Formats: sequence, structure tokens, C-alpha cells
Amino acid sequence: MRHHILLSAFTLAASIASLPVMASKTEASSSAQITATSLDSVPSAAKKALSAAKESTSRELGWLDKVRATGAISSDFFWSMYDKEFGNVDYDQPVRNNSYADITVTAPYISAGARAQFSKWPLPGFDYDMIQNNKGESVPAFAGYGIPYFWATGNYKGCSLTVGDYYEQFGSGLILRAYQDRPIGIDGALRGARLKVNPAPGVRFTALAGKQRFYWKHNPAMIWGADAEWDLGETFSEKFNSNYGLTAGASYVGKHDKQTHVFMPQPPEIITTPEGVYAQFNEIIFPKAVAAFDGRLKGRAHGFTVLAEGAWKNNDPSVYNQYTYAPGHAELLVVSYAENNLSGFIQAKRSENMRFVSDHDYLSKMGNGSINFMPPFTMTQTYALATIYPYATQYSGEWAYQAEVGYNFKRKTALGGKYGMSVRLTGSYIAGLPNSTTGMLPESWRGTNGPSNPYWEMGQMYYGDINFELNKKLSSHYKMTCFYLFQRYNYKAIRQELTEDHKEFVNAHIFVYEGQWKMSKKTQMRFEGQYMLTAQDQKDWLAGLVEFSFAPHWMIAVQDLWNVGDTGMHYWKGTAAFTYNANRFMLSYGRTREGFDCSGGVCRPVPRTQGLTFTYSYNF
Amino acid sequence: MNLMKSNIFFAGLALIGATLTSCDDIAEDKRTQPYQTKIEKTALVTEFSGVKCVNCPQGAAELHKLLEIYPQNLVVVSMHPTGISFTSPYKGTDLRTEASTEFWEYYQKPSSLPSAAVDGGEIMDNRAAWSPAVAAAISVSAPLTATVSCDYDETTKKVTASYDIKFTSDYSGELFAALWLTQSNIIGTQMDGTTTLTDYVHNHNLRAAFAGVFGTSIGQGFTHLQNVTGAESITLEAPVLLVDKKNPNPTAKDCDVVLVIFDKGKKVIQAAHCPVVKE
Repeated sequence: MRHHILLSAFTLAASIASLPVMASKTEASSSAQITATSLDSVPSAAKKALSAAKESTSRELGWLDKVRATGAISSDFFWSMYDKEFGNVDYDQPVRNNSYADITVTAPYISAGARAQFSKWPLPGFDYDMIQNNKGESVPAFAGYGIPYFWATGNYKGCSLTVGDYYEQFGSGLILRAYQDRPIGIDGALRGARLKVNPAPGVRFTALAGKQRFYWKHNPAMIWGADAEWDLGETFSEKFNSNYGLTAGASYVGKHDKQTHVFMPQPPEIITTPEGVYAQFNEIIFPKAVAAFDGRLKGRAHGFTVLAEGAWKNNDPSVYNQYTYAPGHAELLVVSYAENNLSGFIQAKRSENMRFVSDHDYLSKMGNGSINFMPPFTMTQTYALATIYPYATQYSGEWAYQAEVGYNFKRKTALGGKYGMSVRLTGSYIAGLPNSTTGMLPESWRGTNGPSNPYWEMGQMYYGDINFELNKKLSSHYKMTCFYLFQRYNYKAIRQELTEDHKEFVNAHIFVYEGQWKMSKKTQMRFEGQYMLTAQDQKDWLAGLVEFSFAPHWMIAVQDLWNVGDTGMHYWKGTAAFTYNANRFMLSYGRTREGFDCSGGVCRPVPRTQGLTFTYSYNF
Repeated sequence: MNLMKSNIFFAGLALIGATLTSCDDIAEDKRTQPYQTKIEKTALVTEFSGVKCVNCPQGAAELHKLLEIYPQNLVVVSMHPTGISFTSPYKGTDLRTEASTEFWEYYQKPSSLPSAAVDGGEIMDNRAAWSPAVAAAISVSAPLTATVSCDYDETTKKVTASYDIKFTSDYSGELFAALWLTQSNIIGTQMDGTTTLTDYVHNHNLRAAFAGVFGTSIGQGFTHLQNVTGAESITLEAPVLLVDKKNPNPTAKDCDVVLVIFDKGKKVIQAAHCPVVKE
């Protein structure tokens, strides 16, 4: 039954999606007719709607005339094909699917929206978090379907009130970042209410309350928060030169939590009474309220921008910190520069015990249920071999540094040549704290403050990299990118296991050449050649990609990742994509390497798969 | 007027702020409280483990600790399924069995090891959650008590397990009785953190189910004081009994029979065990 309702919702969304504008009363009734009849009638109905819209432009626009609908549909299907030799997972339900349909309707003073999601048999890798369903069966938490996200917002004179589901971030997210990242299965929407007020120019105030989404339910902790930001440059615009700016912000997030039964590691005392035998444990007491504060200051002078931010939260025992009680804190300093052809930044972060979650007993492998977020300090990698050893932010504690410098050599200069050239050098270094550890922390820490760490000392190295990228256009038809990456990756600390050859660290050199050749006005070829040189884990890798684009509709590509080291395994894939107006269809067949899909330092495990993938997306 | 409005706005904010920004700092000597639970039944922990899983020895140690706490009220079964790289054997000892694989597949092939389920509940790879889950499971009142006894014929190597179920209250649903054979003291290679242990002792390894891993139906609808008995047999020889170079002469003394009473939803209502040979 629910299945049919959902399909109807998708049909409805598709019907609405076919209308360029849903504006007047006439249009609204047209859309109602469309949904009441069938998809076949959409084009004629859309024409009627368009002509009605044209007519309405000759009249004075009323409130209903200003109603607009936008949205998007995206659907990913994967048909798993089991290959015993390849060793991929043999799914009982081989066809997997994640589908979403979003709609937003805006009007003067009010807007509303909803999202339907169908993921009853989620795509591989979205099924790592397991929960118990109503029947008591252990099932993937991601599996389900329904309308998990809906909201309405009213706006009036600088105030906006949202009820329902919403995403929000305070500052850099150190104490609050409720966000969605679909490719890695993150959805931390809050359900409740949020008020935003701009009482004066440059002054922004946000207050919110809600419970956080955890797949198809909401976690028990109630979250309250408030953020105030003052942009002095905007408030005193007449006194601030446009080359200068100063913004100050402060936030609070409170978590009001329930008591659960988590015991100290010592064995219980067995007590025998005439009524029976009892086990008496020492259970830990959870704080009823956990408070987190954030303060930040951002200054700008000509090309320089400096951001200093600090966050603190009080005792917050959870499964992530082995139920320890030490306060958590994080400090962030970013200095950036961008002017003329030179840009760069240098940033440092120290964080300790800053995992802030809405369910203190559930350890999510996909990073869901997290109230806050630690900004990543590594470069986002896009080339296939550069993503084999991704760094995942370690919330137990880390010192992280990152620096980048980029320069654009102008056209008609010695290095820029005829078409110009850009170079970029980036480096990261991330280390743990001297007495902290990653993964499952020792049980003996439970109920204590955990380890104490001297503020300025660093522990073992977790990750380091150096990236160099050069982009140059060699002719009017050809441009190239050369990329080099050196990584030192603490496999044991990040993945809680050793490499296949039983090593703790991986040192890898990755070389990439990418070329883009505009063969004709409508045809373009892009190709990549990549090589990873490493003496650890599965040893060397070779990768190649060739992609042809035939504008405006077609794209085809073939690629292969080949482990030329220990396994000799090929991960080949062929892809074809077709774009028509706002519709995009993509079909690919091939293999996916097991590993991690990461975004912003948050990683989702990905299993080894082989099969056919079909992707459809549509925006309106 | 505007100034007054502004003052009211900020005073309101301050009031709300003072109310909501409370926090609860717990002093070091006030972080625990006693929690008492009545032991009502025997719980079953089914653990998924693997010889190439670096944290599995820690999982086994955790379960050993729990067995010491509840010697009379806890049964542990360790399962090494086929189809996951962590369990693929080193040369020699192969702890994988069909029964383990069937159970693992029922749990939708969890990929993170060690992981465990208590009484057929949620699969947990967070070892810290096992102890509270066991404490919760043993405190659940069961509608029946169950015992199992073993009779072993040394000549034929045949084990006959007889169970006796007594209902302590009415029960309307269908129930299933499953008998499993486990083997302990198996010497084999095991990853342990950064080292590889060549003479690791594996215990409670599920070797076989007598008649299906989820057993056979014992009926539907039971009344208070009703008695249900049954018996099944199995022969202790390879591959039921693990025999290899490192374990050339396993004996019946290394084996246990586990009785599990499942409901229709594969939840464990009661469990019991007996050694194949009494000491």
C-alpha cells in the first residue's frame, strides 16, 4: 500500500515537474487536471498553463500569480551481478535503488517543500548501519521509503519562521551542522522549528529546536540552539571602507538527553534473594543537558582574510568517546589571501573529544546522528587513484595543518605563454594527540575523564600529503592538467586494521596527466592517465580513462583501474550518458573497487561491486 | 519606542538564553548509580568472527568475560561464515560452516567483525554494547524453562540431545527448537591487532545444526505447565567435528550442544546447553 502511495507521489512530482511554471489559478487547476488524468496529457496541459501565464502578465500580478514551484528528481539503480571469482557481494535482492523527489513551492511571505525518498533496497554501501525493525529483525537503517523531509517557512519583515525539517549550520559547524550529503548517505536534518531574525542591518539571529533525523526515525535527544552574528561592515557601512570587514559570531547548542543503561566494565554483583537472582551493575549517569558554545571573529583587509574560531562543549559521554566525561573543545585559525593572480591560505586546527551526537549509544559507520562537523584539512581528491587512501577526520582528537598557494600566470608572459597557466601547491599534515587513540577506545576509560593531552604536543602522524597541480592551455583546442600527489597514510589509525601486507603506513606517489582536446565545435575528448607508486598494501596501480562528449546530448566513456601490484585485479567500467533539456540519463556497466567514499572528511564504506548502473536526474 | 522594543527583544533573548543554555556537569564521584536487574532466563549471544579480523580476539575476550559473570545464564556461539574475506582460512584450519553462513545470511551479511546479536536481536559491532544487551536479555521474563541433556555413544560417535521444555505461562505463538553443536579448544591461526597468532584457541565454534539452524516447529499455542520434549541426533565426525593438522584428535569433550527456542520472528525465547560428555 505504502509502495503505491510512494509511486503516486513520484508520479505527482513528475507531473508537476513537467510544468515550466505553476503560477496562476488557471495553472493550478491545469496541474490538478494533469495529476488527475495521466502523464500523457502533460504537454497539452503545459501549453495551456503557458498561455495562461502569458495572459496573466497583462494583468497586475496577484499573490497567486507569484507562486512558483521548483524541484528535482534523482534516481540511481544498480543491478548487482555476482561474480564468484571477483568476490563481490551476492545480494538476495540484486536490483538496488536510491530515489529522491524534491519539490519546493514559493510564494510571497511563505514557502513550503517536501522530499520523497525510496530506498527500500539501498545501493551497495548505504547499508552499513543496521537497526532493529518493528518485527525485531536486524535491517539496514537506510532501507525504507516515505516522505522524511517536509517544511513550511513564513517570512515577514526580516523574520522567517520554519516549521518542519530544516538544515542549519552555525559558523564553521564546530557545534552545529545539520546537513545532507546524498552521495555518502548523510542526512542530519532537524525536525522542529527555527526562527531567523534580522533586527538591524548586519545583525543576524537564529534560534532553533528540534530532533535530529536518523534514517527513518528521529533520535531521542532534543536539540536547542541559538546563533548571533554581527557583520560590522554591514552595520556601519558608511564607516567601513569596502576593503575592510569585521564579523563576530557566537553560538550555543544544547542537547537534552535521556538516561540509558550503560554499565561500567566491572562485572555485576550477583545477589540472591528469596524473590530470585539479581545482577547489580554500576550504570553511568548521563548529563541531562550538554551545552556547546562557539565564538568566532572574521576580519578582512584588502586581500587578506583571517578567521579565528573556538568551540567548547561540556561533559558528553557517548559510545564514541567510550563514555568519558572530559569536556571537548576545538580551535580553528584560517588565514587566506586572494588578490590579483595570487591566492593561498594557511590554516590550523586542534580538536579534542568534539564528537557531538544525538544518540549517545549508536555508533554510526556512515557518520549519521552527528550534530556537529569538523572542517576537513585535506584537499578534495577527484582522480580515481588519489581517492584510494582518503583521510577521515578523527574526532577523538587531532592537530591538523593545511596550506595552499596558487598562482595564475597571465597570458603572453614567459611562463603563461599564449594562453596562460595556473599552478597550485597544497600540503596537509594531520597528527593525533599524544594520549588519544582512534577506533574503539579502552573500556577502562569509561566513567573517567579519559586521557589528558598537553595542548601543544602532537601524537602519532595520521596523514600527510603534498599536492601539485598545473593547468595549461596549449592551443585553442587543447588543454592539459598535470597532477602529482604524495601521501603518507596511517592505515592502522584510520582504518583500524593493517594493510594487506601487514603494514601500518602507506606511502604513495600518484602521477596524473589529463588532457582535453576539442576535436570539433561539438566534439570533445578527455583522457586521463594515472599511476600510483607504492611499496605497501596492494602495491602499484595504473588507471586510464577516455571520454568523448558529443554536444549537446551524448557522452561516452571507458575507464579501468588496474592493480599492477599484488592482485592484478581490473576495475573496468563503460559509461554512456544522454542529456535532453533538464533530463540526464546515464548507463554504466562495470566494477567498483571496495574502499571508502569520502566527502568533507566523512567517509562511507563502499563494498566491491559489479553490475549495471542506471541514473536519472531531472531539475525543474 | 524603537529603543524600548529593542530592549524588550534583547531582554527576551537573554531570558530564553539563560533558560536554555543550562548544562549539567557531573562530578567525578557522582557518575554512576546502581542498576539492578532480575535474572529471568538464559541469553544466547551469537557472535560473527573471523580468523583475519584484527579485533576478533578482543571480541572473544569480551564474551569470555560475560560467561564468567553469568556462568548459568549465558550461552555463547561463535560463527565463522563463508562469503566474507575476514573468515577465509589460513592454510589449514577452516572454521567456516554452512550453519554459520546461513545464520550470517539471515542477518543480511554484516561486514563488520566482530559483531554479535543477543537473543536474535540487533547485530552489534560495538563491543561496548554487548554487556548491556546481555544484561537486558537475561532480565526478560520467559514463558518457559528449557533444559537439554546429551547422550554420547563412543562407538558410533553419535550424540543424542534430548530437550525438556516446561511452560511457566501461556504462550499463543508458534515455537521452534534448534539444536546446535559447538566445538571448543580448536587450535588455529588468528590475526590479533598487528600480530598473527599461530596457536590461538578458538572456542564455541558453531559446527552444525542438528535439524536446521532455526530448528523445527514444536507446535503453536501452549498452556501454563505444559511440557514439551524432543530429541535429535548427530554423528561426531568430520566435517561436523573439525579435524585437521593442528587439531588431529578432537574429542567429544571439546563439544557442547546448544538448545535454542526461537519464536516465529527468529527471536530467542530461551536457551540452554550441555556438554556432550560430562566431566
